[in-house]
Amino acid sequence: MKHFLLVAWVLVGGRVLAADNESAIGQLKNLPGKALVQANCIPCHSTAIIAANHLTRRQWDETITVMQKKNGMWTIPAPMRKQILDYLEKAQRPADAGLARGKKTPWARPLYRANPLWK
Amino acid sequence: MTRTEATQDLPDSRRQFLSHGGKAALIAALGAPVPFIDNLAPGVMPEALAQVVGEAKGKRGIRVLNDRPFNAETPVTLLDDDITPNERHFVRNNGIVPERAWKKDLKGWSLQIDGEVGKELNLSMSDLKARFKSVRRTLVIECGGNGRAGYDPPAKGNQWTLGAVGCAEYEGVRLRDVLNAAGVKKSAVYIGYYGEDIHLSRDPRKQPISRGVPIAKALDEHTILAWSMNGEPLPAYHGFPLRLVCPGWPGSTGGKWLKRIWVRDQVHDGTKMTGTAYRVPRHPVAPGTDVAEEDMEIIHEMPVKSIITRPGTGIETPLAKQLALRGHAWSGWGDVKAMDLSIDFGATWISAKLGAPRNPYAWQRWNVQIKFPKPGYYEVWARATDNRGHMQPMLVPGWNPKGYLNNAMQRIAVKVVA
Repeated sequence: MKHFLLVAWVLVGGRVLAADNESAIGQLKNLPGKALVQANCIPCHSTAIIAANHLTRRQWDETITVMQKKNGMWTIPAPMRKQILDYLEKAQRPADAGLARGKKTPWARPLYRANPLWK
Repeated sequence: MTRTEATQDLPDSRRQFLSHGGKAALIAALGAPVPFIDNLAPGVMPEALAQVVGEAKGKRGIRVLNDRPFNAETPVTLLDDDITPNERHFVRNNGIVPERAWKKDLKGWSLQIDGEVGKELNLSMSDLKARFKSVRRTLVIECGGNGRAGYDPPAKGNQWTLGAVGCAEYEGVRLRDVLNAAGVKKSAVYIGYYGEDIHLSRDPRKQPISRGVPIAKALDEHTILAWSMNGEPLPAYHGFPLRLVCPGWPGSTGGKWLKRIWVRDQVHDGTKMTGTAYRVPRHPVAPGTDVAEEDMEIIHEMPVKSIITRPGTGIETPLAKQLALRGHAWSGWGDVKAMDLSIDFGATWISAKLGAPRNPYAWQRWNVQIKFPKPGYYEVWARATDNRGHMQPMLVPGWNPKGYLNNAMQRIAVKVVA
């Protein structure tokens, strides 16, 4: 899988990390609204931090508010905000193996145990 | 729009792309306006068209979690050195590395000390080196969010696993010598640092991060202003020309690219000091609980922790031979006093040999030889105990909204074959 991703990066023309560094940067899923998420978020930060996070719709909404209040993000018209949240809710929801990143890391794998209170 | 579709029409040079009408093409490709398009640095390809992954300059073997801002951790087996080489040391950046750091340029740089002091200071690098006694210290720096990936429900932020920690040798001066030269007033409560790193929005009025520590920690003998890391000027990612190191506390208290220390008469309220950043609930909460900001408190000492650097998980080892295991242990509360391992899911424990730290707040080497009783699958659990008697928990400890302070024991899988 790792090799596949590296090859994918080369194919899309992205620069690859110096030879033996490993990229753990995830890709955004192709679902409706992805382009809007990119357009509104990448001027400041890359999509890596979005792909790495798995939150509820309300938490994503709060995150956008924080970006606006503290980090200079522009005002988004309500319908656009809804589309962005629709995307994030679907693509980056907590049920989507929030631990996937860690679990994919072989040397960290035995660290993780499910929390019995979390459904 | 798929990635392939988006990149089919790319010209050879992506740098040219954005400078030659690329912005309009980008907007067309996305089918959406691009706010702040003028903020895109020249040559930066938006993710929509290609994932740009920086070169992780000066790093080797690390695992990059985020390219903008740059964040990378070290695979745990690459943390075996007693002193973590610069190329292996994790990086947690909040903003953009200033140009000065890449150019190793000291022109126009000084450190300002102001606020609750008798006399403001403005020190050049040569002032710092000439006026104060220099010290060399081997110090663990660990990100407050190291282990965040273990929390469930997931916590916001970079999903660090085990490798947001390193132990390098720094050279610099004690912060207290500098503060005392400025004359700390009785009204001093806290320090707040300001660095030259650039906010991701490129808004010059915003700081990516501006944290600090209580005045007692600032005046602690072990808190230093460092200009060198493992005998080299601080690498760009690590804060050239000067950084703070507040050992035993979250790495974020150690401001990088330092230009100012403001002695405050109140708890510093800079970026990432307030709200929920680098804070945990005052009282234990059930996983997933909403915690009001006023119920969160600032993290001080980091808890006791250890890593297994040899062997890596999943190793096969012959029954007839002893297996050598080793790693490091450290605690924000002082020395680690015991290191124990279990091969039977915690029922019994084997003491490891534990070395002394090179100096306070350096990590301690542990090693042990283990003979397994019969073939099969084992998990080796590693547990450090610090001088307060506190041990690493078996499971991920107290859930908190931002996923800090996970010091659960590391476990590796070992297959013993006849």
